[in-house]
Amino acid sequence: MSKQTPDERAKKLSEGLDYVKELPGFERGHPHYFKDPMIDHLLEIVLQLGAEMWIIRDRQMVTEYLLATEGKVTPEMIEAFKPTPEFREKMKEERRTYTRRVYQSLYEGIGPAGEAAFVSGVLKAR
Amino acid sequence: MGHIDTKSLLTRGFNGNSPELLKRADEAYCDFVSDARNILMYAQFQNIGQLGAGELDAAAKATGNLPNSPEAIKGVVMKVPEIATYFRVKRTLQESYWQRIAESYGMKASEFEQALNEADKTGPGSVTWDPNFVYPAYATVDIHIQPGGYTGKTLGALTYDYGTKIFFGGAGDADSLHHSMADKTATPKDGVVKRVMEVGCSIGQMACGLKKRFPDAEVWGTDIGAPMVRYAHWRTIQQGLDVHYAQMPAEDLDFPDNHFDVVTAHLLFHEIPVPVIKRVLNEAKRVLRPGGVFVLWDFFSAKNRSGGTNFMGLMDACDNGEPYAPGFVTCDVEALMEQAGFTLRSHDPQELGRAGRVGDKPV
Ligand SMILES: C[S@@+](CC[C@H](N)C(=O)[O-])C[C@H]1O[C@@H](n2cnc3c(N)ncnc32)[C@H](O)[C@@H]1O
Repeated sequence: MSKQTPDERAKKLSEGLDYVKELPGFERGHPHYFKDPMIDHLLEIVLQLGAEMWIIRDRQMVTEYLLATEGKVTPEMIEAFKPTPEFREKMKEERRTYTRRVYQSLYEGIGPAGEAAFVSGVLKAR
Repeated sequence: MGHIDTKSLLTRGFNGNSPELLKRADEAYCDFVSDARNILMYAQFQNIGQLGAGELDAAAKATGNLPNSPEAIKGVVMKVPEIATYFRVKRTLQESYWQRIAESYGMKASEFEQALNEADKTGPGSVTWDPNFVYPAYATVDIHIQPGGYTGKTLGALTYDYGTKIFFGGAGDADSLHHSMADKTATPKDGVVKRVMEVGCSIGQMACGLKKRFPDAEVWGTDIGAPMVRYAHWRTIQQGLDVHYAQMPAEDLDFPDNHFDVVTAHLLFHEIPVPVIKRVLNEAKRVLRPGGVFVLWDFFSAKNRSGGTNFMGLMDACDNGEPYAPGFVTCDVEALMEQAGFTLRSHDPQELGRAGRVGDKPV
Protein backbone atom coordinates (compact mmCIF):
# COMPACT_ATOMS: atom_id res chain seq x y z
CA MET A 1 0.00 0.00 0.00
CA SER A 2 1.17 3.56 -0.59
CA LYS A 3 2.76 5.59 2.15
CA GLN A 4 0.20 8.39 2.18
CA THR A 5 -2.52 8.42 4.83
CA PRO A 6 -5.96 7.37 3.60
CA ASP A 7 -7.11 10.99 3.73
CA GLU A 8 -4.14 12.22 1.73
CA ARG A 9 -4.71 9.54 -0.85
CA ALA A 10 -8.41 10.39 -1.16
CA LYS A 11 -7.48 14.03 -1.62
CA LYS A 12 -5.05 13.10 -4.37
CA LEU A 13 -7.65 10.87 -6.06
CA SER A 14 -10.13 13.76 -5.94
CA GLU A 15 -7.80 16.35 -7.51
CA GLY A 16 -9.52 18.44 -10.16
CA LEU A 17 -12.80 16.63 -9.59
CA ASP A 18 -14.84 19.10 -7.54
CA TYR A 19 -16.98 19.68 -10.60
CA VAL A 20 -18.48 16.19 -10.45
CA LYS A 21 -20.72 17.17 -7.53
CA GLU A 22 -22.58 19.50 -9.88
CA LEU A 23 -23.21 16.85 -12.55
CA PRO A 24 -26.81 15.76 -13.13
CA GLY A 25 -27.21 12.42 -11.40
CA PHE A 26 -24.48 12.87 -8.81
CA GLU A 27 -27.26 13.19 -6.22
CA ARG A 28 -29.94 10.54 -6.56
CA GLY A 29 -32.82 13.00 -6.14
CA HIS A 30 -36.54 12.22 -6.01
CA PRO A 31 -37.74 12.86 -9.53
CA HIS A 32 -41.33 12.87 -10.59
CA TYR A 33 -42.40 13.09 -14.18
CA PHE A 34 -46.01 14.18 -14.28
CA LYS A 35 -47.12 17.69 -13.54
CA ASP A 36 -49.34 16.25 -10.86
CA PRO A 37 -47.06 14.08 -8.70
CA MET A 38 -50.09 12.08 -7.63
CA ILE A 39 -50.04 10.45 -11.08
CA ASP A 40 -46.48 9.34 -10.37
CA HIS A 41 -47.59 7.86 -7.07
CA LEU A 42 -50.55 6.08 -8.64
CA LEU A 43 -48.34 4.52 -11.32
CA GLU A 44 -45.92 3.39 -8.64
CA ILE A 45 -48.74 1.82 -6.68
CA VAL A 46 -50.11 0.12 -9.80
CA LEU A 47 -46.71 -1.40 -10.54
CA GLN A 48 -46.28 -2.58 -6.96
CA LEU A 49 -49.73 -4.13 -7.01
CA GLY A 50 -48.88 -5.83 -10.30
CA ALA A 51 -45.81 -7.36 -8.70
CA GLU A 52 -47.69 -8.44 -5.57
CA MET A 53 -50.39 -10.01 -7.71
CA TRP A 54 -47.76 -11.92 -9.69
CA ILE A 55 -46.24 -13.24 -6.46
CA ILE A 56 -49.59 -14.82 -5.62
CA ARG A 57 -50.02 -16.28 -9.11
CA ASP A 58 -46.48 -17.64 -8.99
CA ARG A 59 -47.18 -19.34 -5.67
CA GLN A 60 -50.40 -20.75 -6.97
CA MET A 61 -48.74 -22.19 -10.06
CA VAL A 62 -46.02 -23.78 -7.93
CA THR A 63 -48.60 -25.13 -5.49
CA GLU A 64 -50.64 -26.73 -8.26
CA TYR A 65 -47.52 -28.18 -9.86
CA LEU A 66 -46.37 -29.73 -6.61
CA LEU A 67 -49.82 -31.12 -5.85
CA ALA A 68 -50.00 -32.65 -9.30
CA THR A 69 -46.50 -34.14 -9.21
CA GLU A 70 -45.94 -34.87 -5.50
CA GLY A 71 -49.46 -35.21 -4.22
CA LYS A 72 -48.78 -32.76 -1.38
CA VAL A 73 -47.38 -29.32 -0.74
CA THR A 74 -45.76 -27.53 2.21
CA PRO A 75 -44.30 -24.02 2.54
CA GLU A 76 -40.83 -25.62 2.64
CA MET A 77 -41.48 -27.43 -0.63
CA ILE A 78 -42.50 -24.15 -2.25
CA GLU A 79 -39.34 -22.41 -1.05
CA ALA A 80 -37.13 -25.26 -2.23
CA PHE A 81 -38.90 -25.61 -5.58
CA LYS A 82 -36.66 -25.44 -8.65
CA PRO A 83 -38.73 -25.46 -11.84
CA THR A 84 -37.81 -27.64 -14.80
CA PRO A 85 -36.77 -25.61 -17.85
CA GLU A 86 -40.18 -26.34 -19.42
CA PHE A 87 -42.09 -25.19 -16.37
CA ARG A 88 -39.88 -22.11 -16.04
CA GLU A 89 -40.68 -21.23 -19.66
CA LYS A 90 -44.39 -21.78 -19.05
CA MET A 91 -44.34 -19.43 -16.05
CA LYS A 92 -42.46 -16.84 -18.02
CA GLU A 93 -45.01 -16.98 -20.84
CA GLU A 94 -47.81 -16.64 -18.32
CA ARG A 95 -46.06 -13.67 -16.68
CA ARG A 96 -45.49 -11.91 -19.96
CA THR A 97 -49.07 -12.37 -21.08
CA TYR A 98 -50.26 -11.10 -17.72
CA THR A 99 -47.97 -8.05 -17.82
CA ARG A 100 -48.96 -7.15 -21.35
CA ARG A 101 -52.65 -7.53 -20.56
CA VAL A 102 -52.57 -5.46 -17.38
CA TYR A 103 -50.47 -2.62 -18.75
CA GLN A 104 -51.44 -2.61 -22.43
CA SER A 105 -53.13 0.78 -22.28
CA LEU A 106 -50.03 2.64 -21.11
CA TYR A 107 -48.47 3.15 -24.53
CA GLU A 108 -51.58 2.75 -26.67
CA GLY A 109 -51.11 6.18 -28.17
CA ILE A 110 -47.67 5.65 -29.66
CA GLY A 111 -47.79 2.58 -31.85
CA PRO A 112 -46.36 -0.91 -31.54
CA ALA A 113 -43.46 -1.76 -29.25
CA GLY A 114 -40.08 -2.76 -30.61
CA GLU A 115 -38.08 -5.83 -29.80
CA ALA A 116 -37.85 -6.25 -26.03
CA ALA A 117 -34.15 -6.64 -25.48
CA PHE A 118 -31.42 -5.02 -23.49
CA VAL A 119 -30.27 -1.97 -25.37
CA SER A 120 -26.69 -0.93 -24.82
CA GLY A 121 -23.93 0.54 -26.85
CA VAL A 122 -21.70 -2.32 -25.79
CA LEU A 123 -23.93 -5.03 -27.06
CA LYS A 124 -25.42 -3.45 -30.11
CA ALA A 125 -24.18 -0.63 -32.33
CA ARG A 126 -27.03 1.71 -33.09
CA MET B 1 -14.42 -25.06 0.24
CA GLY B 2 -12.97 -23.73 3.43
CA HIS B 3 -15.36 -23.64 6.36
CA ILE B 4 -17.94 -21.49 4.69
CA ASP B 5 -21.19 -23.39 4.90
CA THR B 6 -23.08 -21.91 2.02
CA LYS B 7 -25.82 -24.55 2.28
CA SER B 8 -27.28 -23.18 5.48
CA LEU B 9 -26.76 -19.61 4.30
CA LEU B 10 -28.24 -20.03 0.84
CA THR B 11 -31.30 -22.07 1.65
CA ARG B 12 -32.52 -21.68 -1.91
CA GLY B 13 -29.17 -22.42 -3.51
CA PHE B 14 -27.56 -20.72 -6.50
CA ASN B 15 -28.85 -19.34 -9.76
CA GLY B 16 -25.84 -19.86 -11.98
CA ASN B 17 -23.03 -18.32 -9.93
CA SER B 18 -25.31 -15.93 -8.06
CA PRO B 19 -27.06 -16.68 -4.78
CA GLU B 20 -30.80 -17.12 -5.10
CA LEU B 21 -32.92 -14.66 -3.16
CA LEU B 22 -33.94 -16.03 0.21
CA LYS B 23 -37.68 -16.28 -0.46
CA ARG B 24 -39.69 -17.59 -3.40
CA ALA B 25 -41.81 -14.43 -3.16
CA ASP B 26 -38.74 -12.20 -3.61
CA GLU B 27 -37.73 -14.14 -6.70
CA ALA B 28 -41.24 -13.87 -8.14
CA TYR B 29 -41.25 -10.14 -7.44
CA CYS B 30 -37.95 -9.71 -9.30
CA ASP B 31 -39.13 -11.93 -12.17
CA PHE B 32 -42.04 -9.57 -12.59
CA VAL B 33 -39.81 -6.50 -12.46
CA SER B 34 -37.40 -8.01 -14.96
CA ASP B 35 -40.10 -8.79 -17.51
CA ALA B 36 -41.84 -5.48 -16.89
CA ARG B 37 -38.56 -3.75 -17.74
CA ASN B 38 -38.33 -5.66 -20.98
CA ILE B 39 -41.95 -5.11 -21.96
CA LEU B 40 -42.65 -1.63 -20.59
CA MET B 41 -39.18 -0.10 -21.01
CA TYR B 42 -36.70 -1.68 -23.39
CA ALA B 43 -39.38 -2.48 -25.97
CA GLN B 44 -40.43 1.18 -25.96
CA PHE B 45 -36.91 2.60 -25.97
CA GLN B 46 -36.81 3.51 -29.68
CA ASN B 47 -40.35 4.88 -29.70
CA ILE B 48 -39.78 7.10 -26.69
CA GLY B 49 -36.39 8.25 -27.98
CA GLN B 50 -37.89 9.31 -31.30
CA LEU B 51 -40.92 10.91 -29.72
CA GLY B 52 -38.76 12.93 -27.31
CA ALA B 53 -36.30 13.96 -30.01
CA GLY B 54 -39.25 15.16 -32.12
CA GLU B 55 -40.59 17.23 -29.23
CA LEU B 56 -37.16 18.75 -28.63
CA ASP B 57 -36.73 19.60 -32.32
CA ALA B 58 -40.13 21.24 -32.39
CA ALA B 59 -39.30 23.25 -29.28
CA ALA B 60 -35.99 24.31 -30.85
CA LYS B 61 -37.77 25.48 -34.00
CA ALA B 62 -40.34 27.42 -31.99
CA THR B 63 -37.90 29.11 -29.62
CA GLY B 64 -34.66 29.21 -31.60
CA ASN B 65 -32.63 27.13 -29.16
CA LEU B 66 -32.43 23.46 -28.36
CA PRO B 67 -33.18 22.73 -24.70
CA ASN B 68 -30.10 21.08 -23.20
CA SER B 69 -30.26 21.23 -19.41
CA PRO B 70 -32.06 18.31 -17.80
CA GLU B 71 -34.70 20.68 -16.38
CA ALA B 72 -35.33 22.31 -19.74
CA ILE B 73 -35.50 18.94 -21.50
CA LYS B 74 -37.86 17.51 -18.94
CA GLY B 75 -39.99 20.64 -19.22
CA VAL B 76 -40.49 19.89 -22.91
CA VAL B 77 -40.72 16.12 -23.18
CA MET B 78 -42.65 15.22 -20.03
CA LYS B 79 -45.70 16.99 -21.39
CA VAL B 80 -46.18 13.87 -23.51
CA PRO B 81 -47.91 11.40 -21.16
CA GLU B 82 -46.24 8.32 -22.69
CA ILE B 83 -42.79 9.82 -22.13
CA ALA B 84 -43.59 10.69 -18.53
CA THR B 85 -44.97 7.17 -18.13
CA TYR B 86 -41.81 5.61 -19.54
CA PHE B 87 -39.55 7.43 -17.13
CA ARG B 88 -41.86 6.86 -14.17
CA VAL B 89 -41.93 3.13 -14.94
CA LYS B 90 -38.17 3.04 -15.40
CA ARG B 91 -37.40 4.80 -12.14
CA THR B 92 -39.95 2.84 -10.12
CA LEU B 93 -38.85 -0.56 -11.41
CA GLN B 94 -35.22 0.33 -10.80
CA GLU B 95 -35.87 1.50 -7.24
CA SER B 96 -38.05 -1.46 -6.46
CA TYR B 97 -35.69 -4.25 -7.43
CA TRP B 98 -32.78 -2.78 -5.47
CA GLN B 99 -34.97 -2.47 -2.43
CA ARG B 100 -36.44 -5.95 -2.66
CA ILE B 101 -33.09 -7.65 -3.23
CA ALA B 102 -31.45 -5.84 -0.32
CA GLU B 103 -34.40 -6.74 1.92
CA SER B 104 -34.24 -10.37 0.89
CA TYR B 105 -30.54 -10.96 1.60
CA GLY B 106 -30.86 -8.54 4.51
CA MET B 107 -32.79 -11.22 6.41
CA LYS B 108 -29.41 -12.91 6.90
CA ALA B 109 -27.18 -9.84 6.84
CA SER B 110 -24.93 -10.89 9.71
CA GLU B 111 -24.46 -14.41 8.29
CA PHE B 112 -23.46 -12.99 4.92
CA GLU B 113 -21.02 -10.62 6.59
CA GLN B 114 -19.58 -13.57 8.49
CA ALA B 115 -19.15 -15.48 5.22
CA LEU B 116 -17.22 -12.54 3.73
CA ASN B 117 -15.01 -12.35 6.83
CA GLU B 118 -14.18 -16.03 6.49
CA ALA B 119 -13.60 -15.79 2.76
CA ASP B 120 -11.11 -12.95 3.36
CA LYS B 121 -8.83 -15.57 4.89
CA THR B 122 -9.59 -18.47 2.53
CA GLY B 123 -8.36 -19.65 -0.87
CA PRO B 124 -8.17 -20.48 -3.69
CA GLY B 125 -7.02 -17.04 -4.76
CA SER B 126 -6.88 -14.11 -2.36
CA VAL B 127 -8.28 -10.71 -1.54
CA THR B 128 -6.69 -7.63 -0.03
CA TRP B 129 -8.57 -4.52 1.05
CA ASP B 130 -8.11 -1.66 3.43
CA PRO B 131 -10.73 -1.09 6.13
CA ASN B 132 -9.43 2.49 6.47
CA PHE B 133 -9.68 3.34 2.78
CA VAL B 134 -11.20 6.78 2.20
CA TYR B 135 -13.22 7.00 -1.02
CA PRO B 136 -12.90 10.00 -3.31
CA ALA B 137 -16.33 11.65 -3.64
CA TYR B 138 -16.68 10.66 -7.30
CA ALA B 139 -16.74 6.99 -6.29
CA THR B 140 -19.54 7.35 -3.75
CA VAL B 141 -22.38 7.96 -6.19
CA ASP B 142 -25.41 5.64 -6.07
CA ILE B 143 -24.64 4.33 -9.56
CA HIS B 144 -27.80 2.92 -11.16
CA ILE B 145 -29.46 4.41 -8.04
CA GLN B 146 -28.42 1.35 -6.05
CA PRO B 147 -28.56 2.60 -2.45
CA GLY B 148 -24.95 2.85 -1.25
CA GLY B 149 -23.54 2.34 -4.74
CA TYR B 150 -20.40 0.22 -5.12
CA THR B 151 -18.68 1.44 -2.03
CA GLY B 152 -21.14 2.29 0.73
CA LYS B 153 -22.56 -1.03 1.98
CA THR B 154 -20.80 -4.21 3.08
CA LEU B 155 -23.33 -6.36 1.22
CA GLY B 156 -23.65 -3.97 -1.71
CA ALA B 157 -21.95 -6.37 -4.11
CA LEU B 158 -24.30 -9.22 -3.23
CA THR B 159 -27.24 -6.97 -4.03
CA TYR B 160 -25.48 -5.78 -7.18
CA ASP B 161 -25.00 -9.39 -8.34
CA TYR B 162 -28.72 -10.18 -8.48
CA GLY B 163 -29.58 -6.65 -9.58
CA THR B 164 -27.39 -6.75 -12.67
CA LYS B 165 -29.17 -9.91 -13.79
CA ILE B 166 -32.32 -7.85 -13.93
CA PHE B 167 -30.45 -4.91 -15.40
CA PHE B 168 -29.27 -7.04 -18.30
CA GLY B 169 -32.83 -8.10 -19.03
CA GLY B 170 -32.49 -11.48 -17.36
CA ALA B 171 -29.70 -12.47 -19.75
CA GLY B 172 -26.21 -13.53 -18.81
CA ASP B 173 -27.07 -16.39 -16.48
CA ALA B 174 -23.98 -18.17 -15.22
CA ASP B 175 -22.08 -15.07 -16.34
CA SER B 176 -22.17 -16.13 -19.98
CA LEU B 177 -22.06 -12.54 -21.23
CA HIS B 178 -18.93 -11.76 -19.24
CA HIS B 179 -17.30 -15.01 -20.20
CA SER B 180 -17.90 -14.34 -23.87
CA MET B 181 -16.24 -10.92 -23.44
CA ALA B 182 -13.32 -12.60 -21.68
CA ASP B 183 -13.00 -15.05 -24.55
CA LYS B 184 -12.93 -12.20 -27.07
CA THR B 185 -10.40 -10.12 -25.14
CA ALA B 186 -7.39 -9.44 -27.35
CA THR B 187 -3.97 -10.78 -26.41
CA PRO B 188 -0.49 -9.32 -27.06
CA LYS B 189 0.78 -9.77 -30.59
CA ASP B 190 3.60 -12.01 -29.34
CA GLY B 191 1.02 -14.28 -27.73
CA VAL B 192 2.61 -14.25 -24.27
CA VAL B 193 0.01 -14.08 -21.49
CA LYS B 194 1.39 -14.64 -18.01
CA ARG B 195 -0.34 -11.89 -16.02
CA VAL B 196 -3.81 -10.51 -16.69
CA MET B 197 -5.81 -7.90 -14.82
CA GLU B 198 -9.32 -6.56 -15.01
CA VAL B 199 -9.63 -3.09 -13.48
CA GLY B 200 -13.05 -2.15 -12.09
CA CYS B 201 -13.84 -5.85 -11.79
CA SER B 202 -16.93 -5.57 -9.53
CA ILE B 203 -18.00 -9.09 -8.60
CA GLY B 204 -15.34 -10.80 -10.69
CA GLN B 205 -17.51 -12.24 -13.47
CA MET B 206 -15.08 -11.26 -16.21
CA ALA B 207 -11.99 -12.03 -14.11
CA CYS B 208 -13.31 -15.57 -13.65
CA GLY B 209 -13.86 -15.79 -17.40
CA LEU B 210 -10.26 -14.69 -17.94
CA LYS B 211 -9.01 -17.32 -15.49
CA LYS B 212 -10.94 -20.00 -17.35
CA ARG B 213 -9.46 -18.84 -20.62
CA PHE B 214 -5.90 -18.48 -19.28
CA PRO B 215 -5.72 -21.17 -16.57
CA ASP B 216 -1.94 -20.91 -16.29
CA ALA B 217 -1.81 -17.12 -16.04
CA GLU B 218 -1.91 -15.10 -12.82
CA VAL B 219 -5.26 -13.33 -12.98
CA TRP B 220 -6.08 -10.21 -10.98
CA GLY B 221 -9.32 -8.35 -10.43
CA THR B 222 -9.02 -4.90 -8.92
CA ASP B 223 -11.75 -2.46 -7.94
CA ILE B 224 -11.99 0.68 -5.87
CA GLY B 225 -14.82 -0.79 -3.78
CA ALA B 226 -13.95 -3.03 -0.84
CA PRO B 227 -17.44 -4.59 -0.87
CA MET B 228 -16.86 -5.51 -4.51
CA VAL B 229 -13.52 -7.28 -4.22
CA ARG B 230 -14.49 -9.07 -1.01
CA TYR B 231 -17.66 -10.47 -2.51
CA ALA B 232 -15.88 -11.19 -5.82
CA HIS B 233 -13.44 -13.35 -3.88
CA TRP B 234 -16.23 -15.18 -2.05
CA ARG B 235 -18.03 -15.77 -5.35
CA THR B 236 -14.85 -16.97 -7.05
CA ILE B 237 -14.16 -19.44 -4.24
CA GLN B 238 -17.59 -20.95 -4.90
CA GLN B 239 -16.43 -21.60 -8.46
CA GLY B 240 -13.14 -23.09 -7.27
CA LEU B 241 -11.09 -20.60 -9.27
CA ASP B 242 -7.75 -19.11 -8.30
CA VAL B 243 -8.06 -15.35 -8.89
CA HIS B 244 -6.46 -12.55 -6.90
CA TYR B 245 -8.55 -9.56 -5.94
CA ALA B 246 -7.42 -6.27 -4.50
CA GLN B 247 -9.01 -2.98 -3.58
CA MET B 248 -7.15 -0.50 -5.77
CA PRO B 249 -8.23 2.57 -7.69
CA ALA B 250 -7.47 1.89 -11.35
CA GLU B 251 -5.68 5.25 -11.51
CA ASP B 252 -3.36 4.39 -8.61
CA LEU B 253 -2.40 0.73 -8.84
CA ASP B 254 -0.04 -0.90 -6.42
CA PHE B 255 1.89 -2.82 -9.09
CA PRO B 256 5.36 -2.30 -10.56
CA ASP B 257 5.96 -0.94 -14.05
CA ASN B 258 5.85 -3.35 -17.02
CA HIS B 259 4.12 -6.04 -14.97
CA PHE B 260 1.05 -7.21 -16.93
CA ASP B 261 0.54 -8.69 -20.39
CA VAL B 262 -3.15 -7.81 -20.59
CA VAL B 263 -5.15 -5.16 -18.76
CA THR B 264 -8.84 -4.88 -19.48
CA ALA B 265 -11.74 -2.73 -18.30
CA HIS B 266 -15.33 -3.78 -18.88
CA LEU B 267 -18.00 -1.11 -18.34
CA LEU B 268 -15.74 0.89 -16.02
CA PHE B 269 -15.02 3.96 -18.15
CA HIS B 270 -18.58 5.26 -18.47
CA GLU B 271 -18.78 5.23 -14.68
CA ILE B 272 -15.77 7.44 -13.94
CA PRO B 273 -15.15 11.14 -14.70
CA VAL B 274 -13.07 11.99 -17.79
CA PRO B 275 -10.02 13.21 -15.80
CA VAL B 276 -9.99 9.82 -14.07
CA ILE B 277 -10.24 8.05 -17.45
CA LYS B 278 -7.04 9.81 -18.49
CA ARG B 279 -5.29 8.79 -15.28
CA VAL B 280 -6.46 5.20 -15.65
CA LEU B 281 -5.10 5.04 -19.20
CA ASN B 282 -1.72 6.34 -18.06
CA GLU B 283 -1.66 3.88 -15.19
CA ALA B 284 -2.63 0.97 -17.45
CA LYS B 285 0.17 1.94 -19.79
CA ARG B 286 2.60 2.02 -16.87
CA VAL B 287 1.77 -1.42 -15.52
CA LEU B 288 1.66 -3.07 -18.97
CA ARG B 289 4.91 -4.42 -20.33
CA PRO B 290 6.06 -3.27 -23.77
CA GLY B 291 3.95 -5.22 -26.24
CA GLY B 292 1.22 -5.63 -23.63
CA VAL B 293 -2.36 -4.86 -24.54
CA PHE B 294 -5.14 -2.75 -23.04
CA VAL B 295 -8.68 -3.78 -23.95
CA LEU B 296 -11.54 -1.41 -23.24
CA TRP B 297 -15.11 -2.67 -23.33
CA ASP B 298 -17.67 0.06 -23.02
CA PHE B 299 -20.38 2.11 -24.73
CA PHE B 300 -19.90 3.44 -28.21
CA SER B 301 -18.78 7.02 -28.46
CA ALA B 302 -21.37 9.55 -29.53
CA LYS B 303 -19.53 9.99 -32.83
CA ASN B 304 -20.13 6.32 -33.66
CA ARG B 305 -23.85 6.43 -32.99
CA SER B 306 -26.80 7.54 -35.01
CA GLY B 307 -28.55 10.60 -33.55
CA GLY B 308 -31.60 10.81 -31.37
CA THR B 309 -30.36 9.01 -28.28
CA ASN B 310 -28.74 11.98 -26.53
CA PHE B 311 -31.78 12.92 -24.55
CA MET B 312 -32.29 9.32 -23.45
CA GLY B 313 -28.66 9.27 -22.35
CA LEU B 314 -29.02 12.48 -20.42
CA MET B 315 -32.15 11.19 -18.71
CA ASP B 316 -30.29 8.02 -17.78
CA ALA B 317 -27.47 10.14 -16.41
CA CYS B 318 -29.63 12.23 -14.14
CA ASP B 319 -32.32 9.82 -13.02
CA ASN B 320 -30.58 6.47 -13.22
CA GLY B 321 -27.36 7.42 -11.44
CA GLU B 322 -25.01 7.63 -14.41
CA PRO B 323 -23.49 11.10 -13.93
CA TYR B 324 -20.30 10.28 -15.83
CA ALA B 325 -21.72 8.47 -18.86
CA PRO B 326 -22.39 11.61 -20.99
CA GLY B 327 -18.79 12.70 -20.41
CA PHE B 328 -17.52 9.31 -21.50
CA VAL B 329 -19.51 9.04 -24.73
CA THR B 330 -18.42 12.51 -25.83
CA CYS B 331 -14.77 12.36 -24.72
CA ASP B 332 -13.37 10.54 -27.79
CA VAL B 333 -11.82 7.79 -25.77
CA GLU B 334 -9.96 6.41 -28.78
CA ALA B 335 -8.06 9.68 -29.05
CA LEU B 336 -7.38 9.58 -25.30
CA MET B 337 -5.97 6.07 -25.63
CA GLU B 338 -3.64 7.30 -28.33
CA GLN B 339 -2.64 10.31 -26.23
CA ALA B 340 -1.76 7.92 -23.41
CA GLY B 341 0.61 6.19 -25.82
CA PHE B 342 -1.37 3.18 -27.02
CA THR B 343 -1.46 2.13 -30.66
CA LEU B 344 -5.05 1.32 -31.57
CA ARG B 345 -5.61 -1.83 -33.61
CA SER B 346 -8.74 -0.44 -35.24
CA HIS B 347 -10.90 2.67 -35.49
CA ASP B 348 -13.74 0.90 -37.27
CA PRO B 349 -16.88 1.09 -35.08
CA GLN B 350 -17.91 -2.42 -36.16
CA GLU B 351 -14.58 -3.76 -34.95
CA LEU B 352 -14.89 -1.75 -31.74
CA GLY B 353 -18.26 -3.41 -31.24
CA ARG B 354 -16.91 -6.89 -31.74
CA ALA B 355 -13.53 -6.61 -30.08
CA GLY B 356 -13.69 -3.57 -27.81
CA ARG B 357 -11.03 -0.90 -28.17
CA VAL B 358 -7.69 -2.63 -28.35
CA GLY B 359 -4.53 -0.62 -27.69
CA ASP B 360 -1.00 -2.03 -27.82
CA LYS B 361 1.77 -0.59 -25.68
CA PRO B 362 4.57 -0.02 -28.18
CA VAL B 363 7.57 -2.34 -27.90
C1 LIG C 1 -20.36 -1.28 -13.96
S1 LIG C 1 -19.18 -1.83 -12.81
C2 LIG C 1 -18.21 -2.84 -13.88
C3 LIG C 1 -18.41 -4.21 -13.63
C4 LIG C 1 -17.53 -5.30 -14.16
N1 LIG C 1 -16.33 -4.86 -14.80
C5 LIG C 1 -18.38 -6.09 -15.08
O1 LIG C 1 -18.01 -6.26 -16.20
O2 LIG C 1 -19.43 -6.55 -14.65
C6 LIG C 1 -18.02 -0.57 -12.46
C7 LIG C 1 -17.06 -0.95 -11.35
O3 LIG C 1 -15.98 -0.04 -11.37
C8 LIG C 1 -15.60 0.26 -10.05
N2 LIG C 1 -14.88 1.52 -10.04
C9 LIG C 1 -15.36 2.78 -10.09
N3 LIG C 1 -14.35 3.67 -10.10
C10 LIG C 1 -13.21 2.95 -10.04
C11 LIG C 1 -11.83 3.29 -10.02
N4 LIG C 1 -11.43 4.54 -10.05
N5 LIG C 1 -10.93 2.29 -9.97
C12 LIG C 1 -11.31 1.01 -9.94
N6 LIG C 1 -12.60 0.63 -9.95
C13 LIG C 1 -13.53 1.58 -10.00
C14 LIG C 1 -16.88 0.25 -9.27
O4 LIG C 1 -16.64 0.02 -7.90
C15 LIG C 1 -17.64 -0.88 -9.96
O5 LIG C 1 -17.44 -2.09 -9.31
